[in-house]
Amino acid sequence: MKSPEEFVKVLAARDFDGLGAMLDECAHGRLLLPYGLEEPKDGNSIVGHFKRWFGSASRFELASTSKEAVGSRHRLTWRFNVEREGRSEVIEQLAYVNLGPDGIQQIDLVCSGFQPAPTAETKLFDAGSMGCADGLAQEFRQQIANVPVGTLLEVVVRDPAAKEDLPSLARMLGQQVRSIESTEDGRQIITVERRK
Amino acid sequence: MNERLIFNCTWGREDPERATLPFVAANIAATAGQEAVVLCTVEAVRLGTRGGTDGVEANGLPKLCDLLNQFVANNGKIWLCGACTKPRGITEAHLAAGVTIIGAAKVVEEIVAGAKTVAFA
Repeated sequence: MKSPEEFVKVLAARDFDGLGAMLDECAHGRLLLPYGLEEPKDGNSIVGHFKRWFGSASRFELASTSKEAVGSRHRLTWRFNVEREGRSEVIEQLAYVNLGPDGIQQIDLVCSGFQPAPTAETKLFDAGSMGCADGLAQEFRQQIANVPVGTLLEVVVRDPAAKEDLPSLARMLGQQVRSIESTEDGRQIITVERRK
Repeated sequence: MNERLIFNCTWGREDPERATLPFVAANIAATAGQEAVVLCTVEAVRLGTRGGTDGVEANGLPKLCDLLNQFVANNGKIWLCGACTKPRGITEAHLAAGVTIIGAAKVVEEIVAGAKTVAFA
């Protein structure tokens, strides 16, 4: 293993074979999980745990990670946003690892367990009667830039062209249209997630 | 890959020949199983309203009213430019079947995705 952060990269890709290759065959693990302690005694068993935790998630995204040397050990953290059986969840783990000539020899890990993902705060942008030729694109771009990545912007439009245009604009700007809802009074509420 | 063909139409009843020709070409595309759209701008947006094609007929060409109905029956779509409908007071309540008001972003997204525009009048 070239560097400890590579472990997180391979884990984020759910490349479990690659993960196994980074562990010394005789690696020991001490995994403090919400229900208690597990002590796998070799590399394969350690990989087996990761596979059980993360293998079946339908969405698996690395939200944040950190690394720091602590004397001869390496402190690694990772946080994943996951979706399992239709539920959005977040999980964080902190690990101290010892590197040997044949890979990781020891991994001491604390796990938060799968926690329900916080519901993103939704900002509102009422576009009024704005349509195609009167600055909607510019205004939308500004509004979406003002919400943090990963959160939602609810756009309310009334103009018929805006109803068609807003989702197109959002997609072209690399954002994700999460839902489109028409109200009885002729408005349309378009919920956009800022992705970048 | 988007294979849609977008036929531009900028003329209304003031020039029946120019108003009809894009629909002739688009209807041929739709008949041939292509995804065809007529994009109406300027005065052509009035053609997408109920009764908007009544009496529009050019010498040697089909009545626009019949042609438009045939085009829609062939799964053809008609888009009206939102920046052109607004000053003319045209709203969703005025639209004929198969007609939608759209904006420039929608057209740009289609073209970025591979749609082609056709000028045929």
